[in-house]
Amino acid sequence: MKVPLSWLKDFVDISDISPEDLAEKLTNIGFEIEEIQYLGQNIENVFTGKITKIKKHPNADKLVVCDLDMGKQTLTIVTGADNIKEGDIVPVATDGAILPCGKKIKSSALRGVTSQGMLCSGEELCIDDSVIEGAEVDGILILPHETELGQDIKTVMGLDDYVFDVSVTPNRPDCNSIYGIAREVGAVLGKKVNSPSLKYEINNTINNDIKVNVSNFDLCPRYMASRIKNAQIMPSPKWMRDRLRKVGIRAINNFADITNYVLIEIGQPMHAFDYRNIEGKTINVRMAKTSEKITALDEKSYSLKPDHLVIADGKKPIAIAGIMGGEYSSIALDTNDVIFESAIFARGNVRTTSRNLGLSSESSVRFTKGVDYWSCETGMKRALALVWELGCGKIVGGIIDIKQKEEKEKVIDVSINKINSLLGIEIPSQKIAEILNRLEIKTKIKGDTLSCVIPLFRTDLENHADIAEEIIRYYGYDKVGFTLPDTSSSIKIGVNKFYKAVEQTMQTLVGLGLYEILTYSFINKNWLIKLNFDKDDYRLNTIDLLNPLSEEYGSMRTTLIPNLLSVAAYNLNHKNNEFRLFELSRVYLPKKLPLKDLPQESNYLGAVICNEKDDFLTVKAIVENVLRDFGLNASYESSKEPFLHPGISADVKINGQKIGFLGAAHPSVLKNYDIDKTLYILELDYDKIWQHKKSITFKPLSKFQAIERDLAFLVKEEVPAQELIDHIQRSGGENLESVELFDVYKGAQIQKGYKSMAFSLVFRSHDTTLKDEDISKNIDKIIRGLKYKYNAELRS
Amino acid sequence: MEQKLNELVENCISKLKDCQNLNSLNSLKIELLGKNGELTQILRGLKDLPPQERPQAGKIINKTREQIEKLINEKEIVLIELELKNKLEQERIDITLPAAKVSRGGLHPQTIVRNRIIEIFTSMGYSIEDGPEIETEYYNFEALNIPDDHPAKDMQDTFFITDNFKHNIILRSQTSNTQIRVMEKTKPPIKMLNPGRVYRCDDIDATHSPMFHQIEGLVVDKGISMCDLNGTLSAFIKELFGEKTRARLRPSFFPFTEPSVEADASCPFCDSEGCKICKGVGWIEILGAGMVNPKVLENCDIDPDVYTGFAFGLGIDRITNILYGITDLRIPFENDIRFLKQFR
Repeated sequence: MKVPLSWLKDFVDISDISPEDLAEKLTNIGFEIEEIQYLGQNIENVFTGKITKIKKHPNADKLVVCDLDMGKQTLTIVTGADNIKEGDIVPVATDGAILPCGKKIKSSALRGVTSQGMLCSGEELCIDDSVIEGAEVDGILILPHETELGQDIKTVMGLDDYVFDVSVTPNRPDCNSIYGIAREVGAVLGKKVNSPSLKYEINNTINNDIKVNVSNFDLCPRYMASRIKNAQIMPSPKWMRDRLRKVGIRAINNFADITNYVLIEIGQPMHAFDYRNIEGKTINVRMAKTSEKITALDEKSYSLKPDHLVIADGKKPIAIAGIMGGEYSSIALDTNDVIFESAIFARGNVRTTSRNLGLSSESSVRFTKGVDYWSCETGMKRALALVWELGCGKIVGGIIDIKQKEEKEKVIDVSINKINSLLGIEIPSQKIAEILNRLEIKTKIKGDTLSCVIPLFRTDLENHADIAEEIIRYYGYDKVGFTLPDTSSSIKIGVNKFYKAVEQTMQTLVGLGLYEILTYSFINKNWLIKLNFDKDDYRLNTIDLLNPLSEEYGSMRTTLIPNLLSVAAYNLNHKNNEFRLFELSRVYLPKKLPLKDLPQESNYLGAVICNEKDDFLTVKAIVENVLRDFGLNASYESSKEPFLHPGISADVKINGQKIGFLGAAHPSVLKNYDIDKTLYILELDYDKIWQHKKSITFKPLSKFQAIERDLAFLVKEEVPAQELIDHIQRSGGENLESVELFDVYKGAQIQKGYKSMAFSLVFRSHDTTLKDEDISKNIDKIIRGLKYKYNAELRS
Repeated sequence: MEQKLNELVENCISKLKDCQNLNSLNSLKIELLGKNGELTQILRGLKDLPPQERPQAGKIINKTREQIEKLINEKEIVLIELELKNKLEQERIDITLPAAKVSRGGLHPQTIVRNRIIEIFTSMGYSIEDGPEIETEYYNFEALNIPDDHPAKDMQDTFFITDNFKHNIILRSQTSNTQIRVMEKTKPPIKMLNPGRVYRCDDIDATHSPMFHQIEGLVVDKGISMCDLNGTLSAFIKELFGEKTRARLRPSFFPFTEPSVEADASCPFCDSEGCKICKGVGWIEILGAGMVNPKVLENCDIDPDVYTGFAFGLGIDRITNILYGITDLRIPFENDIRFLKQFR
């Protein structure tokens, strides 16, 4: 909300407070000032002066020498302009002047004659005709004859003014107006607030013969209409145009400007119709009929639907209620009979209609914030007062006022005790009453009960919490004390275990040299195609947004892989060639599409590794370290994930359930991402890991000595190591403490297609010191079993 | 013989002087004390002596032997030390070479800051709760006192997933949905925190992001007051930004709190003098907060005549960027390893 201080001064005296102090006071009561703009910024030492004499320049044909009467002094100035004559009043940039373009003016000699400054054009002052007539002419700006001499040009042009950009919170629609802000300023400064002038005379000889019918009071609780005869359409006076310009509204004509002026000053959107184009002299506020159309003031045609509220005459819609008038019934240069509309339209309907039609206006924006009974009536009266003040028409007696009900000021009874205990401080009742009275809330105190009469424009006040806020924002938040809630009874122990587990996992990964990344939850659906998914892969069933920023952020991710690969590609493009990255975050898996119920949001752990020294086994170590924190051991099976290298990839299983995968990225996927390095990726369903977690129980340590045996076997290359380990473990007997694969060898001494695998076995008993003969049976069983199942030959 | 023995000792002393390593010491040892060594020779000569002289001579020889052994042993200790010293000297490396590339990774700066914030509140006894990011309009708006036609809905343009009128599924625009979900399933006293992702339809630029991270806090119990909120936020701000930092409350508006406030911290970078980070005003906006609106409590079947509460919500992204001086919201999402490596 833009508030020129010169306009604010109409209602409240702010002459004894600086703009900065005023801004701070407003901020402290909840109206943040986002910007203080000084309109005359960058214009210094430019004053008005009268040209008393123009002489030829002795040394230059194209220059003249002017004598200027600056009121208290005279100056000599050389200029090349040819649109000036003696007697003209012009802006003079004197010695030391600064112009908006940044130019600094100094006394200097021009071809031998000293010029004590410069005469200015409108362009040099960065103004146009809307600021002052003649500003756009090619040459010096000629000011009106009555202009006082020696005045600061900023004062002459109304630029000696501050404009506040006030951030108005949505609960205070009434403050989207100069007068609304003035009320708050009055209250905070403890000053009287003058009402806007609502004075006008009625011409009783003619009647307001328009009939108004409202068929939907829910969407239009109040509709007011007035008629102005003998209207003269012309430009509005300069003061009005100046004010509209300062708040960013373009002047059109007096009637349009009056409606805009009221919008800004009172906060009530209004509309003006041309009486002669209202057929049947009837205004019907009704729902649009199917396939009704209207050409609005923006000259575009809109097809209306039955849930759009319209203003119609006897035959057709003449306005889309609260949004925009129709072209046909709008004010034209030859209009001489005007109907003013001031109404309350339900903000929800204005919002949906506006969104639906893709049409918005100053008026619709204001209606969606909410107007009230007070602004509706005051707005109409203020508009009529302005017509009367401008003398641009005869006001017909009798404002038509159709309303659902007589709106009365509501009364809220609150407990003073309750307010004080909510705030945690004791504010004396008298102080409370004083603050509320300043806000035009009339109060009565009876014991602990505070009776508050809420003015019509305060639709936001409903209960004791609202009243408490009104009190504290004026009483001052700096008076609120510092205590901590006494809620020791609410402390729950051990509820943050999952969060702690996440922290632990992250620390484990960091310890393994991984860096955490954060990526958007959105993905581009096409990225999934880059991953070679089958048509029926569940990960293609993404939850898509109806209004995404773009296709790139169009769907909720079902896997972390696309984002991991994108980040890898980004880093490689920036010549960051070595990295280990992880993300622990959510994926979004619908139970059914289109979405009926909320989807499953699962925490996934994903990682991407690009490092010359790293290979599949490094990534496997990462997986195992993560699982170890949960007391888990995984098994691994060849993976069929389409985006992984078929020979260097594995599904990770716990208790037979797949919880994720790891492996080298498939070369064709890498190609899709323009990556020419080997990447390893992994993804684990972290929630499933959490479900499988095991608590650790201590196993007693044996006091007896262990026996170690190393066994090497020759097997076919394709036999997986894990199977041999599993087999050894199963057939090693109860005293087999551990099996470790310590060497895999292929090469010179080994038959082609075979490998040698060497295992270190440790046997230990809890009851006795084992002797060789105690374990020889187990060793034999292992050797026989491996021979039988895998044709493994013991190497000696 | 005695003279011979003395010569032997003298000889030993002089040879030991020349002895520079354990090998030559060993040779000397053999030369003097070995099977064919000089002392053994002398010992063998004992049998040529008259029997009565033998014990005396044997004594002298043994004494000499002990003397020589002692000398050699002493020398041996010296030489071992010397050789170790030489070996270590040879192993000397250039300690100024760059460290090997084995190192820990690191957390994303946002996680570091999130963990710090969570630690502050969990140390005050807050539990950590969770809520869905894909949410119904009811939990994101209605239950939080943001009805369909309320202008507060304009404050945040929301991503929609379904368009079923009123029962739409959306991406939550704030973590406040968790307030409702927790209050529905837990009766007071409640003291909870919820970190999470939130979404708004903002085009990506230096100051806007369609996705960011919030932490929601909620306390509901009998007798909770504005002073409790003020004290809590003040303690939090001091803990996060330093003991000297002050907190201030300013009136604001959120539909789900009444009264509503913004909490500012006195700028810790310039001691409130005014700098680039606080844009010259000496204060930094930290979070939005307020007393839980009685209507919100009612929506969760909590009696507002018995219970009161406060809630707050802060943007982790913003605070991270302030703490580390990151000026562009896009950078943390680029995940450039050169960026990530700066935070440990």
